[in-house]
Amino acid sequence: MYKIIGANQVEYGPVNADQLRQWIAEGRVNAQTMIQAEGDPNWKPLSAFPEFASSVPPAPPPGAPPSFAPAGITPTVPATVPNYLVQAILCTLCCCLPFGIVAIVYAAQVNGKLQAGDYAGAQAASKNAKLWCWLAFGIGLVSNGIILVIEFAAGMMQGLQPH
Amino acid sequence: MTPPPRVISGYRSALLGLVLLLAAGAVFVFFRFNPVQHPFFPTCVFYRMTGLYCPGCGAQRALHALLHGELLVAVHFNPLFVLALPFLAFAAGRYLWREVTGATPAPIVIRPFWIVLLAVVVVAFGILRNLPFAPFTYLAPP
Repeated sequence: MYKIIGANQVEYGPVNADQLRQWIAEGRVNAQTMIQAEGDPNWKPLSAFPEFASSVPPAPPPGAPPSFAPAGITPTVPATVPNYLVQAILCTLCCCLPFGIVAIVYAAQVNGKLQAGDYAGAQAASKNAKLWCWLAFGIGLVSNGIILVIEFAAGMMQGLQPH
Repeated sequence: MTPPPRVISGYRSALLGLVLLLAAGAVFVFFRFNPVQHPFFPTCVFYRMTGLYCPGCGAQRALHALLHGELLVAVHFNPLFVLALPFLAFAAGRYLWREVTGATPAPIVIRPFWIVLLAVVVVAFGILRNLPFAPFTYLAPP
């Protein structure tokens, strides 16, 4: 049985290990949450409990390289590789034609490589998808901003001309 | 016993708040103002530079029409955008659900074939809607 200090600094528990695992899964407890095991007077962060080390990170997908992070440190391997498909579609429809399409193609690559078990390749494609989404978004924002300023200036000039 | 509250990082909740605020603002602006009549809606950069419709052209006018319940008008402005909206709404709903409840729903894995098909459809739509004869003229904004 374990007691925990919640994010609101209130003590919860004692609860059993299964309940604690569920709280970890629900994001109520993380690696930094202070835990007191029954029979132990000391409070320790969850990361100091090897029995929960596997519960904190989302499990890496099959084919993923083993995480070399020592137990207890929040691992960097995510459960899935994001493909940024939704962002790519949004960018495409918001008028940044070529860049959005490139992002969609990279999104397809992410899923294709994941399917083939090529985890590193999927991560590389994911990075590219993200990059092209940001490029599309940034260039779209800047070019629209420039056009708005030009339009506004043109409107002002027209307003100044005698009819 | 009530479970402890979720450990939410300030960054994530701030981002969620910002997204909700922007979405509400956009819905209000697109409902209240017609992009045809008001100059502060940006015109497509691609269209301005080339005179050709991009796959997203007409989306703002379509959104305005949709918010007023005019589905057919919206489809005429940009059928692809109207078709994409339910999927985008679904994705937005999942994002909200995940952020608010802390649940981690099983990821939806789309086979790469369908994503490539999407890219092909978007490009084809962008080309076809610029053809100056029927039936393709129906794909261009009126």
